[in-house]
Amino acid sequence: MFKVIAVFTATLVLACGVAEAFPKGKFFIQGAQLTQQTDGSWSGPGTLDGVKGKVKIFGRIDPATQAVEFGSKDNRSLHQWTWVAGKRRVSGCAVIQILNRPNGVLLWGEGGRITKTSAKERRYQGRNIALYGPTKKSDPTHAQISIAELGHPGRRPTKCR
Amino acid sequence: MRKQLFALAAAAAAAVPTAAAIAAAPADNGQIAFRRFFDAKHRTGAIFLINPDGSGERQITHPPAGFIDSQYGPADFSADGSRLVFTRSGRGHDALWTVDTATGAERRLTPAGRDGYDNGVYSADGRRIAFGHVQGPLKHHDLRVTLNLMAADGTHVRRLVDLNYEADLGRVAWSPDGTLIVYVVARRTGQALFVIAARGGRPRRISPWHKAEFNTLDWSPDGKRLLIQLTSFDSSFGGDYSTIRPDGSGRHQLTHFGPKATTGSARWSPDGASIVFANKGVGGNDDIYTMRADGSGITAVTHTPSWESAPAWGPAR
Repeated sequence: MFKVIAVFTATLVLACGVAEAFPKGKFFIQGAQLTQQTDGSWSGPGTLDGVKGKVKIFGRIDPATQAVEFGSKDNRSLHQWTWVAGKRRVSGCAVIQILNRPNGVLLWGEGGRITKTSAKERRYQGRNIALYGPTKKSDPTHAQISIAELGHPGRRPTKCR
Repeated sequence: MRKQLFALAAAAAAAVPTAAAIAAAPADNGQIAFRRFFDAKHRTGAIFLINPDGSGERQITHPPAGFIDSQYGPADFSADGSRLVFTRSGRGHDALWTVDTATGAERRLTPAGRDGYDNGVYSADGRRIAFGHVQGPLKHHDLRVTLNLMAADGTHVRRLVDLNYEADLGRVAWSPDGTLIVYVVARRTGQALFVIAARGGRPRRISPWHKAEFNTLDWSPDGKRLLIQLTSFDSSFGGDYSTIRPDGSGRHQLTHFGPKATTGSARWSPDGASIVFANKGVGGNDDIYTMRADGSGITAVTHTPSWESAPAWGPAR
């Protein structure tokens, strides 16, 4: 039934030529431009609710060597991440797996949840998120990473502290 | 029993059409579209048009800051050469766009959001576009990839193949008569070519599973050969060009550049007599070249220090 609804919705959206806007009130950092640091962690600019900040993903992640083929359950690792803009802060965790896609794409994926926030971002506390985006094989130290509340039914939240 | 056998034979004949049956009238050659990266890291780039003799170059797409066009593969010309369909990537998202090759007017065909759309290719009559749709983000291995058709204006979307969370989709190409679509399926075991009727039905695998990537896939205008290029999984370029019959047999290697080549994806010319491709050029960065369909007569089209690849050859207008 979900399949039918999904197809119908996608078709309707396309047929109407209407852009799918991200739902208001949902946590969404879109396409943060992350660069791999010397210790293997990643950081770079990312915007939340129109506020420019810095996204950091802690722990070593090497897309070129960690990427797995479609369907593999290997190389999933737990990482902490933060978004910081002055005193405003959101922290969380995410299980990350990187998928080797056709056409030279290394796709980050999987998800986690928001564990700590500053007062202005309190509404996001505890929400489940997905962390995803591409790295190019030809540019393996750069990634465009989005962190967003899950929108696809049937997902199970990743438990992490 | 005889009736059943006849039905089976008829079904088999329908599934494997002869080359003559899927040929279309070849067109005269027009301009070549290609993507030029503007920086050494390949983080910015746009699509250009150029005449096959290297003259008349002009930039045709103008992606906004933070976006890049045709990043992962070639754009594709409509039948009359008036439009290109291409993937615009940015902020972690891929969408299909078209551009008017005369005016440069751009139009997004697929919605914004988190889903990805890529590998857009026009049918030979220019009325339909086959494309890949990625629903994600992946979580618990549920990245869902489908091959779809839509009208050239982005309406009437129809799912043709659902890879059902089990596989990924690579390059896509139409038969010249618009009845068949060949596409790359990527699995843990490797990559293989499948063919499906554009009206739907059961896909048929036509190649063995390769531990390499099909970086090139294009159907010759006479319908007799598929142009392919197998690239190592460790790299996003390299590999020699070959042709095979549409049933997967009769592989014939066209080039012998060797393992150190930085060859990129290639396409047939509209008249089927030539092929446009990318390979090492000025300063070690790729330039655009043409060669005859037998792999001889290699001629440079571009000659710049920038990285140029992902070419497609349009019809004369």
